[in-house]
Amino acid sequence: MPGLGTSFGRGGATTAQQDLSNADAILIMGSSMAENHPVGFQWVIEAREKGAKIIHVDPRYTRTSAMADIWVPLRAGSDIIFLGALVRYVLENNREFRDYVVHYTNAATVLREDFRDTEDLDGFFSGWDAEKKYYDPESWLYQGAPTKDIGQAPGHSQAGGGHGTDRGGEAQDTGKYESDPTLQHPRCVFQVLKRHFARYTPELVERFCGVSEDVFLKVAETFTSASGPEKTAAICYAVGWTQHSKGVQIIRTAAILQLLLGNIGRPGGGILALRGHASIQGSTDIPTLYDILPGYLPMPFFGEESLSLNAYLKKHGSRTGLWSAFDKYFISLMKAYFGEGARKENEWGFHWLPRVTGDHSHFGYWLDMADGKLEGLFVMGQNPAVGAANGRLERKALAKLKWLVVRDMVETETASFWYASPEVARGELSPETIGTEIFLFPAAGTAEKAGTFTNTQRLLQHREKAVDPPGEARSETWFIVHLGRRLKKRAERDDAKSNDGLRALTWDYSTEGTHAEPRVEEVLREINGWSLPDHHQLQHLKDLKNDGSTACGAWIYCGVFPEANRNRALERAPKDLLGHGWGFAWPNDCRIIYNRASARPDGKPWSERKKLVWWDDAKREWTGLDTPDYEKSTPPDTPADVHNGHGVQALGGARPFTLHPDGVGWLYVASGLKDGPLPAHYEPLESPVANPLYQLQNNPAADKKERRDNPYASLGDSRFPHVLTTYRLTEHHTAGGMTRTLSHLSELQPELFTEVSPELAAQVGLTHGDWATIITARSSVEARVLVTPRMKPIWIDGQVVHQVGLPYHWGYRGHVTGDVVNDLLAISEEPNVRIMETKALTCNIIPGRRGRRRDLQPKPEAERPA
Amino acid sequence: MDMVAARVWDTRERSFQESRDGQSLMQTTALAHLGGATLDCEENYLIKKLFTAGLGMVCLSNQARI
Repeated sequence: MPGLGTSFGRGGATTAQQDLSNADAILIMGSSMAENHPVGFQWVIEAREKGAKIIHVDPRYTRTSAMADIWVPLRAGSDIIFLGALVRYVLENNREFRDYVVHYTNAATVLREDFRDTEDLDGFFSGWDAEKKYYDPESWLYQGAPTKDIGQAPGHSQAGGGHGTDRGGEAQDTGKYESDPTLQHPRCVFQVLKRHFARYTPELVERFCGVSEDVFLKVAETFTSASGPEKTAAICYAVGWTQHSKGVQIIRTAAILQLLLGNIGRPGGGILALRGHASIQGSTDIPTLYDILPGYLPMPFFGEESLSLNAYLKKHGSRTGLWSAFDKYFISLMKAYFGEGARKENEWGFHWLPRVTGDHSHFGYWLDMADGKLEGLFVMGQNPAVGAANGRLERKALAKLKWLVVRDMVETETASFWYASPEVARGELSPETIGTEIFLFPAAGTAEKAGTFTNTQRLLQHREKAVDPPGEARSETWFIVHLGRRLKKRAERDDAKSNDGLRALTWDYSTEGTHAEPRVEEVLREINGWSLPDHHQLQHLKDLKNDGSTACGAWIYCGVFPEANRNRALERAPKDLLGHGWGFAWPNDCRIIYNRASARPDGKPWSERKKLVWWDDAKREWTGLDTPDYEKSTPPDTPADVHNGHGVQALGGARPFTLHPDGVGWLYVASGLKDGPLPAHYEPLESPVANPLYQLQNNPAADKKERRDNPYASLGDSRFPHVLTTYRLTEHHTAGGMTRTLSHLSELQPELFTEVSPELAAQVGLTHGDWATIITARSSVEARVLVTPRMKPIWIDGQVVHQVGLPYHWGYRGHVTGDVVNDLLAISEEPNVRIMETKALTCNIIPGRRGRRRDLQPKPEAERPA
Repeated sequence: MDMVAARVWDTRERSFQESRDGQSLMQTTALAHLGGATLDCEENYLIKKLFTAGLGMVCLSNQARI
């Protein structure tokens, strides 16, 4: 989310899938949309039928490529070279949408004199602390921006980043800056961009992405010529971009491209983040994550910034833009959590919230678990024994727990690791000696319970229950509500300070039916928010207060339940292409966000063909085909006063990116990312190729978590000469718990296979349909060989690089079983969101099955050569 | 359910830290949660509310680290 969040203000897709049909070109990269988002792909096809050009950039030829006008195979992990070269193409050929760039981006903003770029420091930005391995981002600030006085040393000692800093600008006042609207100042963002990307040439693309100059230039010409006042182009991506050690910066490069071309906030434009689960978007908006609270409010981190509520509000609020109401969002959340217990005198319960003291993300705490530092774990609707990187480490760590609760629809590999895992077969674990007490709860499926998903385009859709769950299966709502009742009852008997928050927690959810299922809509009403003490539903986030007179579980969802009996997420009467009337898109039912940018600064559409939202002079309000993502009655000629003003009013009438303190899209991110204000190409953590641009091989801020049970192959390791990339199939869902248990889907995709080119097959002696073993520094798996010209050898700087493809859906349970592909991956963390690198690593592939006897297994870590 | 509640309570009692260096911590790192992207918004909301705001759990994660 920070890639989109820091660029535009919100960590969500900027558009709706239906709107793709308005595009003049669509670039799909880091995704096989036809296979993994087939329903939405209909709109890509519709665009193509209307004449749009479809470009698919992917190491593999897939069904998406088959439907595209241009398929571009590239080396996995070279995305920033390719996208950076598109940015350079725009800048060198004056293809930017100049009026949009000048008025709606920070291109004109001037940077400080002491900022140094990766081009100056051979891969580093200024501020790198080699010992602590993080950036001090003070030199990234704008010229003229004061640092905030929050009782800390000048500026801030460490680059903030992650979901909690999506807003950007938290550590400084990005509403104050010097600028040069002519874009000529040598230190203005526009000129810095030109210099930064100057070496990302078509020739570099040819040499290190393996894409010929001709093909690259055809893509560049196709995409840029489909942008401008009369045209728009869209970009779709999925985890093929996200799951890299620099994933956020790949998305940032796309954001820069789209801002330069004027493609954000306009119909047929945008960046569509294609999410991989039903509610990926929902589970970051209302997070089960360690670093944020609902609505992207940051968790308090241990330290001076959280000593008092005021210090916290000062650090994370901003003077201008929508985040100026940060206190209202936060205090309303505290009122939703703690009810009458949250009072001004106790800083609204702020000190009941736990402080974050380190990396408590999945891998951060899992490694602690492997080291015996955790006692208890809940796993709900996730299957890390198959789905997570370095599966062997993941499974063995489970055996170190005192107790484990798994809630799922079937007995997943995570629940059965203690008797069915490969580690048991190998003799590394045995049921007799595992001390973990395991509780397996049957969970209700989506059709067996009511609830709301937030889909890939920020759309909240509420489902009614279709049938009762079978047997003892229950919803997560049921489990949490009844667990909470028990724990609160226990806390009533123990008045220790540690239980104050638990006692104050509002938990009076009512239940119904023979199973005492909670009424889910009560929870959604709380998320929407209500006034206090009279409990009237809030209509709009503007209704939120900072005096304790409103409660709101997630400010960004405010408006989804505007009346006691009106659940907009349940509405099913679409009345236009964008789907108004069907569900509720956050914020405020805007389907294309930042849509003020679809009009010129004077409020008129850039063109009749691409009109979306405009100023109605007669009615004195913004109107159009979508809900305006702007103050409805603020005329376009309202002057801005971002340097001295306060609130969203300070943005005036022509600054569409209202979450940013300066109201514009950020080509350059001065604050909010841990690995730099601009994207730079680094090689994957495992790569057969030396970084052609910098001495620095990898993203310096990425965390490899390298240890004996999580080793890496180094550059030039001849044991692992090929590039490995993993992916999903249409027929199975992620770790397979929901699909390998179904006979028809198991029959359609019964067996793990590996895709290799005819050239690689000939080189190493692989036979189509026969077995191969794929080996990485972590583990080995066996798979059926699929020899196909869909995989192409890639020429990289005069050498052939082969790529090996592996879908990762199989495990040791279900109708069809197979080796766990994720065992091959390393646990690694991208610095901003702490996701692992799955899309580009190194491997070997040899004919035949992997050994079964123990003495044929890869040597234990201790004996493996370093 | 009673057994799980008892396990949670015991682990939390053993591991809860109210403060560190004189600063409020109100945290346990011995309890963890994984999962959310396959669940409903209401479920995610209640998990975060009970586990983090109620129990002081910080080790929460799901599939959506994007």
